[in-house]
Amino acid sequence: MSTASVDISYDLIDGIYDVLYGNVIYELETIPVYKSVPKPPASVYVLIGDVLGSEDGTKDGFLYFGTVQVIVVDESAHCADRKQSQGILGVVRGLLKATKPVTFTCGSRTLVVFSHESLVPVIEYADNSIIRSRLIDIYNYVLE
Amino acid sequence: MAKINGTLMCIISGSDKLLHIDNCTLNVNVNLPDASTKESSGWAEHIDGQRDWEIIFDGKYDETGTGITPDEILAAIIARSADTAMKFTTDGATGAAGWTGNGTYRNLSLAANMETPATFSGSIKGNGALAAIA
Repeated sequence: MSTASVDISYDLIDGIYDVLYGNVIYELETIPVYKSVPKPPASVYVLIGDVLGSEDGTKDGFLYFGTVQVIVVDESAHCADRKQSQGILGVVRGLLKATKPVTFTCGSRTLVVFSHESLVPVIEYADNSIIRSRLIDIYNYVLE
Repeated sequence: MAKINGTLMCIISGSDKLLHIDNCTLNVNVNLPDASTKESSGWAEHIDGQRDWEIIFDGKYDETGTGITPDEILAAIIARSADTAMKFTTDGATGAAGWTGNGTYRNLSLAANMETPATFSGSIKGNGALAAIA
């Protein structure tokens, strides 16, 4: 455990990015993975979203826990059109959680727990009439 | 008003700190045998009996670190090791304040729930007097 309180959010985002970047392949197409969205973005992409967390640990060291979002964004308007994004979501889950006890590398930090919490679908109507669907996958993490 | 941060309060066994603890409690008891008679005017009376003390603790399991790890406590229980001088100190940095006495590791439990950090808990049974650290 770390002996000083620090912000771990970027280490976690970076760790997820390293696992996903170049590896999210759906129907022979490599899906872009973003830590921040470029302008203009691709029509379908994976975005590593917000980290919400708190501090835990022992009397000697710090442990961090909370949630992180991994979002599949596409331009489908109806849930029936989401087969592709749902398929991409499945690929992402398989990459982040290949087996139950295994966690991925997070820079110099140790990822103790990484588990899927819930899925939240959101439809977004933009000013330029582009409709975006966001499948927000929320994961629990414990990091030291 | 509380003025001591609980993080400072820790357990020292011999000269080494118990590691990876997130909670520790010192319990001190005195047995109060009933001494009521027909002359007690209907009020319960007692005398001061035996005293005893124990320390209970729990934390997050980790086998590494310089100090007393949960693995070392487990080994001490298995080996039925001799008592050590225990301190329940209010000053984790120096151990210069708090209470001390000889104690024996009585139990250690390791718990491993799915998708949470593994934890441990245990207790130390006092063997003889407990005294304030001068």
